[in-house]
Amino acid sequence: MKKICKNFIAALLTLAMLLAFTACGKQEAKDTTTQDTKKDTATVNTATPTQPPETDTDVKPTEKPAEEENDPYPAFDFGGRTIKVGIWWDYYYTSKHTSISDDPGMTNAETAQMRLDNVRRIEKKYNCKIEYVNLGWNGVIESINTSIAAGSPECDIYLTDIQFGIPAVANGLAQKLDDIVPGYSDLFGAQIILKPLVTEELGGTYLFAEQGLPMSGIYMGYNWTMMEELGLEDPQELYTKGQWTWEKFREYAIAGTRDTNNDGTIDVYGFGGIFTDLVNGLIMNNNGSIAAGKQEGLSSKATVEVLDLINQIYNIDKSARPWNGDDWNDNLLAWSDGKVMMWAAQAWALKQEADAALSAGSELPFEYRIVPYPFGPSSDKKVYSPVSGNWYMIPVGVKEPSKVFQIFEEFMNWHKGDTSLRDDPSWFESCFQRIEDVEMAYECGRNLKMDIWTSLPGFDFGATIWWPIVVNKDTTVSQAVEAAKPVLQDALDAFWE
Amino acid sequence: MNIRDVRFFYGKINETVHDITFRSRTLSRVKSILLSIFRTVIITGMSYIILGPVINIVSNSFFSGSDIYNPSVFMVPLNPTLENYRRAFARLDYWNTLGYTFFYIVSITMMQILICSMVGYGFARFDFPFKKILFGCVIVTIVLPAHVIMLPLYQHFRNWDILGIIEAVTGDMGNLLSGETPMYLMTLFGTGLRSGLFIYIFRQFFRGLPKEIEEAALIDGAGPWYTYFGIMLVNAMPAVITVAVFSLVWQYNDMFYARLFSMPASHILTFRLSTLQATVEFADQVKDPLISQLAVYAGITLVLLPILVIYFMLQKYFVEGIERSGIVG
Amino acid sequence: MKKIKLTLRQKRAVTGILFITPWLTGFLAYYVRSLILNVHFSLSKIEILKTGGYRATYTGLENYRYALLEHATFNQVLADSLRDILIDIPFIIFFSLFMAILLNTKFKGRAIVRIIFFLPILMGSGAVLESLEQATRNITGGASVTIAELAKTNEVNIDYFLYLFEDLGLPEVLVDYITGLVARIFEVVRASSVQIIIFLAALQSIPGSLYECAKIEGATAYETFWKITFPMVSPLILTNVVYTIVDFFVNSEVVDLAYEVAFTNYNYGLSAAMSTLSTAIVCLILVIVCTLISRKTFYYN
Repeated sequence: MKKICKNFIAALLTLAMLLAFTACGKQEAKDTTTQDTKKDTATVNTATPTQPPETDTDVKPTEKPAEEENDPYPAFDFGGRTIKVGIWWDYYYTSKHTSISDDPGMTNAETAQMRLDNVRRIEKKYNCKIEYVNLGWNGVIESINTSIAAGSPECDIYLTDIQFGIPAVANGLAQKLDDIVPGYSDLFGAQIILKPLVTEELGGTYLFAEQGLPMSGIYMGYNWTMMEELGLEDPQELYTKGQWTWEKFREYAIAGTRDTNNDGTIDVYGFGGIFTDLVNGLIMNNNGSIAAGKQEGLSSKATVEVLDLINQIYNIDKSARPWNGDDWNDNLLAWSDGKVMMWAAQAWALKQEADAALSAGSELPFEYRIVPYPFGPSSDKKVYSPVSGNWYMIPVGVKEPSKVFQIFEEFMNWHKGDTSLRDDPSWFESCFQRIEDVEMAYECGRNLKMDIWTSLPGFDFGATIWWPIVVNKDTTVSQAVEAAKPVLQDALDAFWE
Repeated sequence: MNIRDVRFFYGKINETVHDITFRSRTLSRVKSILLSIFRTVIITGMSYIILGPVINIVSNSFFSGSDIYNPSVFMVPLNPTLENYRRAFARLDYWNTLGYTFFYIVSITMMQILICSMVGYGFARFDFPFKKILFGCVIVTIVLPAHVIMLPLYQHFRNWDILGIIEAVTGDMGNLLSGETPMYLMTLFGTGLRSGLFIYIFRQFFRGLPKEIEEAALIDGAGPWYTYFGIMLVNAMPAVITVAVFSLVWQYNDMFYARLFSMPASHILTFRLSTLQATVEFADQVKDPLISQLAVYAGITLVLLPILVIYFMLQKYFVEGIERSGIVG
Repeated sequence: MKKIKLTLRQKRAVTGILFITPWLTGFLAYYVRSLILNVHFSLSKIEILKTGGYRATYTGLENYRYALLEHATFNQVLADSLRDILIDIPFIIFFSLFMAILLNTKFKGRAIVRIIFFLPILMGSGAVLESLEQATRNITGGASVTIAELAKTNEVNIDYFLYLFEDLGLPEVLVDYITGLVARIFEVVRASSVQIIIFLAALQSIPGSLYECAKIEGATAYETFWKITFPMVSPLILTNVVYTIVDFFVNSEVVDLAYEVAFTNYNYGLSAAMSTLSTAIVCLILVIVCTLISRKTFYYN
């Protein structure tokens, strides 16, 4: 018995150790071999096309070959270095992919092949590798923090969300693009491939993103069938005539609020929808802001005007559908049941409801259209949308950032300037019923302005402003603003510090 | 007293005894029925609380796009689909990633059991200087908020070296990141994921075991190492199984170290799960978050299943564990 | 050379140290540095250099002063977190022991029920939670303003219970305590599942012969519990108390705050001060609780 036990445990021990060691050993061995072979092929390839490696760190455009080949980017030897890009999903295609079928969800073989070919071309041209590291959302935040503080950033380029990208820049963790981006780059030129995030608060350009269709605009949806029945003029026409103002909006909302079956309770409201978009839209088109910079904007004239308007339609005119605090989706989707005439629209929600109606056997029983949020009294008559989405940054500590940027920009230019390959409008177009609405949606997304209150840690607009005024109705606008102002300022101080 | 009298008495005693046992039997039967009703109510209630969200996730994973927006659909999809599973399977690269992950967590768990039980035994049965303070340090390792150790650990494994040997040989310090090696090393040195807790569990278990077992072994001439491996570890089977279960699950579910050591997503299934939605959104171009969420639900179901199967198998040993330690005790 | 002779006691001590060597090495290599660095950070102002890396300027106790006296929420959050820990522990321990005893009895479908009670460990932490959070973030379009609102539907309606208890004429403090727990019942159940499993293991390591003895001696179920079950699981009560405190602490808001201060506000010094303070307090609580409980703990020998 004793012996068996002893043997068993000894066996277990050895097995555990063996497993552990083979685990480490095997993997490392594998990694190095693959890397070596790749490196070999890469150097073999680069030996032929480009001139001998320049060790000069200063990249100067050599104009001659650029004009001949129509290639603005001078080639150089990057010595087999790997450019790592930190993001939070599995990216296709990079240096580790050899065939377009590596992407299990590949749908468009043509563009996939172009992307893959582009990777091979860049590898050859610069003798480098491009690697996208899936770090996870929190992983990107942690990697930026830990690896930069530890002395050398883990990735050469990080994708960030405004929420953590801006504080990173404000705390000096990103390199200033104005200093490192070569003059011939697209970012400060035609901006076909990339676009910079320009804000005064940051004192320079630090963040950039891939160009694309301006699909991030926010706008209001309206039930055109209902308006037609009521004999109202199309808001889109009012907008083009410059008459789409708050007064008109209020007038429309009151007109749309009705008791259609005469049972004594209102069943259709003029407006209804989620407040994040409503507040954003109204403030944007009233030239105001809540949290655009280091100073809180909640108590600014333009914002208070917006809150007064909200108070007016929710509490005095009672032309807005009461906020349902228990069900976010009820606020979001009331429009598809015809319970509201105007609402805060999102492209995907429009498409979803239209598709859902179709799959249930019939189309939506009305026509929907979209229009920008109305211009307020402080407006400069321009339509804005809040900056959102994901932006790249080059962290401090990256060696030869100009070269890294150049390679990355060229990597992003896999479509060779043919933006129609990159920008597939079919999904966005399918969200709307008419092409005019698509155009309108693009127009809303063209001018972007910073306002980060929806994602500012430590500030809860819903609890401090929306609920007291609209749901509990126990606070006036000025009381709520006074109470929330210091909280917001504290949150902003912490954010920008 | 003649024999008949004795028989008579005996019969009478027998009767009363029978009577008493009958009464107590009915009483205990009522009791046990009440107990089982009570038990059923409590367990059903608690199970409902726990299962609510899980059932929701599983049923949602079969939803098609039209179901999610149909307000009349509750729990049972009208147009059930396997599309979410197909997508989750592809994007998780399920079988490959699962294989890697299991190899990883099983080997880590074996190391945890071995190392932590050893350290726990050391703390439970031996006296040495500063024992109390050192054991306090074990607790500190689990109390310390994880983010406090991030930077030093990152630096350590980024420029890994043992007394300058590696630098002397290769001219550069090793970078152990982007792999699982740092985790193996930390586990080997008893400072892996929640190792402190496992050490603590083992220590308490060993302290709870009767000393007679070891004393008998000592008298037989067995050394402390043999006593530990051959006798104590076997007797601590319930603790071993408990730690195995926790270690497997926590390591499986761990995101902190996976991120810190930037383990490749293709090796850690749960890590990949956490990026599944973004992958579906950006690589598959599913922009509607409620639709891409369905794939996440399918992914969660796929990720939960294997670990539940393992737990199911291990909990059988739980029961066997009783009998074994029962005999010894 | 003179042979060093060790007494049996010393020999045992050396063996003991050998047994804990792996951990000791790891502790020295990985944790001591972290602890020192954390204290160092908490006494400094940290700036990120333009070339990567950081520079620490010694500022004395400034970070501690700021955290305790000037920071808007730290005190409140710390106090709340500690209060939550102290309030919930008795209940969680009682509840998990109770559930473990219940699950240890023989009944049909026991395996299934055990799996169900195991689920919260998987659901409540790590990857699953994170992917669900990510999903929520996407739906609200990155709006942190609304997470609370979305979570609302999962809560149990407590008004009804409140009404029920008030009718019974129970003291208000107790009612508040109970309703508070009921409202967070999922949290409580989730926070107990590890403890339930630890207790289950403890219950199963009790020798069956003890119960047989008790039966022969004619002990009631009540006596059996207090004379056998309770003392036999008491070493693991201590473990569970420690685990509960640690688990509450590492998931508490004060740790989240310290994380946020470091990772979204980049104030490493302040974050380190917060971590040091809260960890020290929790360690103190642990020491007090452990000494109190270990007096009552029964060990076999």
